[in-house]
Amino acid sequence: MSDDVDRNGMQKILDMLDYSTELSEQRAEHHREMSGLLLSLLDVMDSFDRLLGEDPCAAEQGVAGTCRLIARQLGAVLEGAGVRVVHPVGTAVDPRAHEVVGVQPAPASRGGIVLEVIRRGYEWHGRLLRPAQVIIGRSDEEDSR
Amino acid sequence: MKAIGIDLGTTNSVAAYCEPGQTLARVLENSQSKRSTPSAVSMAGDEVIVGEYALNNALMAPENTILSVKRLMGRDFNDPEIEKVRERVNYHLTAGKGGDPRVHVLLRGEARTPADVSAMILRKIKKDATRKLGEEVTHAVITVPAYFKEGQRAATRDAGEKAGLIVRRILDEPTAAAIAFGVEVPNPDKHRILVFDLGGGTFDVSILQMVQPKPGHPQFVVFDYLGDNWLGGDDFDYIIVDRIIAWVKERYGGDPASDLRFRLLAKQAAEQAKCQLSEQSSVTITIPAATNVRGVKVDVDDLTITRAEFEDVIESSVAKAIDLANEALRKHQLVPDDISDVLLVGGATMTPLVYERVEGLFGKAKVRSTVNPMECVAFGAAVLAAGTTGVECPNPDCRAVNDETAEKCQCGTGLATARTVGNVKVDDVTGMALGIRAVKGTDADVFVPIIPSGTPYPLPTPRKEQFQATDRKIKVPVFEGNDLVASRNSEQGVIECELPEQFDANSPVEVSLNFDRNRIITVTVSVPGSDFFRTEPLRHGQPRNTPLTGEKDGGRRSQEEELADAIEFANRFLDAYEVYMEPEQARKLRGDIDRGWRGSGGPRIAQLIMNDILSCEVAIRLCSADRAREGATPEETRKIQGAVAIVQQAWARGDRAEATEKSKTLNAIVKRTLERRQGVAEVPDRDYGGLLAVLTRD
Repeated sequence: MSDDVDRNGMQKILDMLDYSTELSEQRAEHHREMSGLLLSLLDVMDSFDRLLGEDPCAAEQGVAGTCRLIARQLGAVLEGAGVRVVHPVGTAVDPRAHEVVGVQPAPASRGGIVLEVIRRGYEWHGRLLRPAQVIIGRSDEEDSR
Repeated sequence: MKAIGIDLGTTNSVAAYCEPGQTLARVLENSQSKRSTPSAVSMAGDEVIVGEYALNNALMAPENTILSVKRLMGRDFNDPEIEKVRERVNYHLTAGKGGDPRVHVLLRGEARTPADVSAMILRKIKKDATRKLGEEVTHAVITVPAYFKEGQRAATRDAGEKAGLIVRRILDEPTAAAIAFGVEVPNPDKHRILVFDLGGGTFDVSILQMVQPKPGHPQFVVFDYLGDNWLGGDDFDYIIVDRIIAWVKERYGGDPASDLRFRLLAKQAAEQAKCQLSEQSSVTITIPAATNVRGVKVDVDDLTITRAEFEDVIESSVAKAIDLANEALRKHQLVPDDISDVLLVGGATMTPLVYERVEGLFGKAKVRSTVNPMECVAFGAAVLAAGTTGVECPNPDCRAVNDETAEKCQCGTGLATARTVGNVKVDDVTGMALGIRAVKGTDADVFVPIIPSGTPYPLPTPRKEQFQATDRKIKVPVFEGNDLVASRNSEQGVIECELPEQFDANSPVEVSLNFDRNRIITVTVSVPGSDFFRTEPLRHGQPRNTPLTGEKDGGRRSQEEELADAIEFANRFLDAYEVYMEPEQARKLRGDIDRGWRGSGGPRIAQLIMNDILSCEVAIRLCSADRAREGATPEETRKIQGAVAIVQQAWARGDRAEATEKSKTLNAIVKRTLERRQGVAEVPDRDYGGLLAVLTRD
């Protein structure tokens, strides 16, 4: 009898462990799917950035103005989902958050500093979702090291 | 304690885990929730960064970002392959200090071996896997290409150990893929498997045999492989990028190639398009506001690439891979019908043209689609890691299973030649012959195989070959390969020694080679019928010096190495012959071994240990007799055995004087036996720098 009790107790623990593993796998799968969806939406956001980013005056006129509104709308949706833009210009480069896609000659004081963002980076609930693609300064001093 | 499988790739690495006793493995995502980790290492300030972060840093610190380090593993700086790598990478390659010929990379000015860099990658994989599993990862099976030579395998093992892992096995990648496939096959009776592995930058084709002597215990033997180190699917992406650039030029009349943002977008679009073309017959690429042409934003909005167009441009690369597969078959007089299963490995094999061509060659039914091309190598390694229970004692009366880290079994037998045991058995065989460079006639570049290719290892006993010295200073360059010309094979190391004065320059010399379970090669040079021998392991992971000629023995190796070898040999000698040593002889030898271990024996301790051994007259003569018995005729064997028995009987009676006297008779028989076996040497008449001469037998 006590054997049965022990066996039943053990089985419950095993079932619980299985259940918790299953739950954690489901959560991971959900996280993957959500990340994939958000990354696809960021591609759309990038298109707006390229179209509107360099010509702010145009944003208030005609179709371009409408595009800016749509971009803002999309930005609000992403923000509502916990997505935040990373603003690295002027900060020291951090390979954990920035993908260096170009370097420009710079004085020593600007060496290793993010000079320009080519594609914005985003965090999602405090974790990096996508690194920013950046151009950084590189001084002669660094070259000779 | 957890054991994982690691596919340590050229571009990306994958870790997988399988519960002990099960055969279903799963990929362990890294700390960035990715299923693979880029095999890249970089420096951010003084900090080492690995994986995706290292790639992010590649442009910031191109000369301090190491990519594709696998191509460098276990190679010397003057290796022709290193020249090719140098043309393609931004970091600096150099030889080691003090004449060490091994290639090193410079990381912030500091020379590191490729094994050091791989260890950094493995350390991250170990850390991420530990976090994922919630328990310390201590053991691993690490995969390498089947064509990896001994030095490259040793460097990979060294990397694993430097990363704090107990390396259960260095496993061939095609074998790992076959294990992943084999565990899914209900009855893997007899299969001849071809593994077609087209990765990002390399292509390998391997043929292996799978048998199942008893249910649930499949065995795998790789029996051939071919490859191209510079053929892969990465080029396919750039073909599409070029097409996008051409389209913009044609449509808008401007060249976007110099626009960095555009190039990044085009590469991203190309990767997506390549995947879509695996499913669809055409794909339309859309990149809104892709670039500026003469100050106006332009879109890529109607660029259609058909699968036929794409296949046209990748045709030559695919044909090259198929040609190599045919060549691998021809080498063994096989035809496609002789292959029972084809496994596709590597991301590029998901391209329809690739798998259709393979299906066209072998038949669609043989191409196994259940195997995941991106992860099956890590899966197979994980299954083996989980299924390995330890190493089996080679003593036939014991056969106990010991932990992999044990050096001796409880029964006292050394475990250097013990086989790994577990649920899945993989018979390791040497892919290439191992032998030495010797002189034949006037040709001083002859390769004499001693361990033929296809020999299962670890070997129960060393393989031996007899030669004739050309000088009292002996040089034995050890090579691996299948070419009769030594220099066309790969040099694994050089053993040098000098014959004592009582031997003349044309003395017979025996060279024996052995592999232990860690694939460490031990070389023994001896004079048959005498007490003279010299044993050295070839240590790939250690700094080497370029071979010296004409220098006295010992100039090439450090005191630490000399001592390690002496201790290793002394322990083996004690294992086998202690019963024929006086107690004080054994005590003295043990004491010197102990002093050697503790580092308190002074600079001559290695020599003292060897002197201890040589002073054991009876034991050393019985040791010589055991060596002479191998390869002897039945008549010679009978004589030796008779003489050995007399010595042993005298010893057993406690008559030490009689045993010593009879051991001299034994020694004379051994010497005569070996002399009779010598044959006639083609005695060279000029200086060959100590190389040994090949004997021609009547």
